Amino acid sequence: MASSIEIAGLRKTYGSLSVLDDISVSIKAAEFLTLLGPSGSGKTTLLMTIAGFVRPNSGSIKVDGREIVTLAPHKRNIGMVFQNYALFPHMSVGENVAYPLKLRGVGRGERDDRTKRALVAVRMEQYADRRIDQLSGGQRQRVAVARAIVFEPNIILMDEPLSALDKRLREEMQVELKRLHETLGRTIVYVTHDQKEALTMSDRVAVLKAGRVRQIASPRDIYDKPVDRFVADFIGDSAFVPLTSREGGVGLAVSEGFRAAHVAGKADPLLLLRPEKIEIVSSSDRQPNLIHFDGVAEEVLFQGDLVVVHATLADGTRLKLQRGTRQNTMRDLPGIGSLFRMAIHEEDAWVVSGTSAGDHAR
Amino acid sequence: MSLRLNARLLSALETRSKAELALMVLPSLMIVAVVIVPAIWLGFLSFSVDGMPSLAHYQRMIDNSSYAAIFLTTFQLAGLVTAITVLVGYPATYAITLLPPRLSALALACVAIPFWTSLLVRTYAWMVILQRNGILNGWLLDGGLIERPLRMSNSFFGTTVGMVHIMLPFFIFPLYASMRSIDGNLTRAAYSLGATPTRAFFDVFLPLSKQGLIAGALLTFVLCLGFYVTPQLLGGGNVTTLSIKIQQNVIVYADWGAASALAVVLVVIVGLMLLASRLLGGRATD
Repeated sequence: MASSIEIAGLRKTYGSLSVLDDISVSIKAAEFLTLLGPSGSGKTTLLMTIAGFVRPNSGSIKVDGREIVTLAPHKRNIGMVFQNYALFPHMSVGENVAYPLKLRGVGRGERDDRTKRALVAVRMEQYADRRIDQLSGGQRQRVAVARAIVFEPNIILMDEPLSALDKRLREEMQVELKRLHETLGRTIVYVTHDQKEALTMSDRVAVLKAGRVRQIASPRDIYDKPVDRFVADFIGDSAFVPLTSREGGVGLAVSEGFRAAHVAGKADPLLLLRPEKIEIVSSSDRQPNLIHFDGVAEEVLFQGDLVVVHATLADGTRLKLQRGTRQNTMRDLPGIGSLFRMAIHEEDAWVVSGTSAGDHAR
Repeated sequence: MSLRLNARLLSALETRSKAELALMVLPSLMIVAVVIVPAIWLGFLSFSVDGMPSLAHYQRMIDNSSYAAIFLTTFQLAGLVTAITVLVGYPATYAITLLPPRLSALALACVAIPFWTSLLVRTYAWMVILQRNGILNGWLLDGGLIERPLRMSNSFFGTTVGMVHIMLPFFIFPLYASMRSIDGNLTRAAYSLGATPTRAFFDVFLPLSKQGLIAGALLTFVLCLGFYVTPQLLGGGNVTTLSIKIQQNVIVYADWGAASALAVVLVVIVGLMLLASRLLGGRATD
């Protein structure tokens, strides 16, 4: 069934460039783990190293406790879905899917059977005789998945498999891949640079930057409790406001309780402000569990399902806040150029350190 | 007002594109005058003797057994050269695609530089190497590997060696282009599905480079059929190909009709081959 993967101390350099810098990750059996990061973060290299196409300089990759780091790719029995699908253009859909079975010497009858089942799993059974160039992008994507699962590998790797699809199809495929993961129960390592995709599909997300894992956690923790400014910045919209101890100074004042829970021990603490966590409150509002701040509305953008307000705070920090577009929420929007009061609930507030290494990624 | 102006401008543009089209007729007229008319004239010559319509030139090819030998030699030579070119050229080209970019550029330059050198110079170079008291025989004698010099020039062997050398670039360049267009992820995909490198090569890479292989081999074969300089010089009179016979008919016998008839037959054969390969190739990609 599914296999666990234990990656330890993995390093890869190209000349003086360190692409994988001491990567250690434990992937549980049947887990859906996403490697997320900007281009050049090493996420694809890490995936290719697991597949065996990139040979690391040092480190260990164990599958169910067995070392595979020196094993040739074709002996690893790991399914892989490539970014551009890499379907064989000189074979039909059915032949593509049957190919790994043919390599394993599976007999004709069983081969046809399993090919059909794999195509059914991705809802492509009626396309078995089609040529690859007769398929749309989404259909190719499904065939590539069928080919990667048909030989029942315990691990399936996916390298930005949805990046070539349009938004609607991508969202549809996200749901389908997630469903497939649940029914197959295999370990999936998934690479993407699309943070929303990562949050939607994964059991856990590993955020990479410059060849290092910055954080590995559940989607909710990655989003709500990023370990540092880079992770917070990379995932979702975010603004950062400095915190002070005394009211009236630069930055925001927070309660002692909040300070004890969130600020203690963090150098140069910054309050993370996500657009959907910010409320608009009346200018006299003083509720105890809210952290208040005032700003000037610069822009009010109606987007159909959401309305987004761009605001500038007294210290020059620019932030976005968003709310739904029901009539009652639309009524009390600030006018452009007007001063208004915002607040974030202490429960929703999160503090990151502003002086961690490798900041100012943007 | 402006609408009327627009209409006038648009019609002026229309006139101009017609004029441009007319201008392009000129080069095609040149081609007709310089290439097509003489070719038709030669074709016409082949069907006449002393100005009278006649099939004598074609009849001679059937009656005179030496013509059969010439056709056989020509096709044997072209076939052998093509076969060796493919066997040497395919692995060489594959190796070039596997090299890192800088080295592969260097390797391609090594293929291109002889390609740019005069055909005549290269053929003479082979004569120097292969002749009776040439470089190769000298080495073999000095090394004690042979006691008397081998006959390598003025022979079918020498002609074959020289022609393979000259043909390799014609085969390697189109094949290289076709191999380069194969997505490297396809062989990786084959590995990930469990194919050994050998298996991946035969199941994926070779079939995908087949088109380039066929195109290159066909080009080589067709060029070999009409090859004149190398068989003439390295064959030393012992290898009579169609092109040599054509030259003899014109220069020695001043018989343009006989020469034209051979040329017509060669053109027809090449045409049929191209047609056959088009049909076969078309089926392969369907």
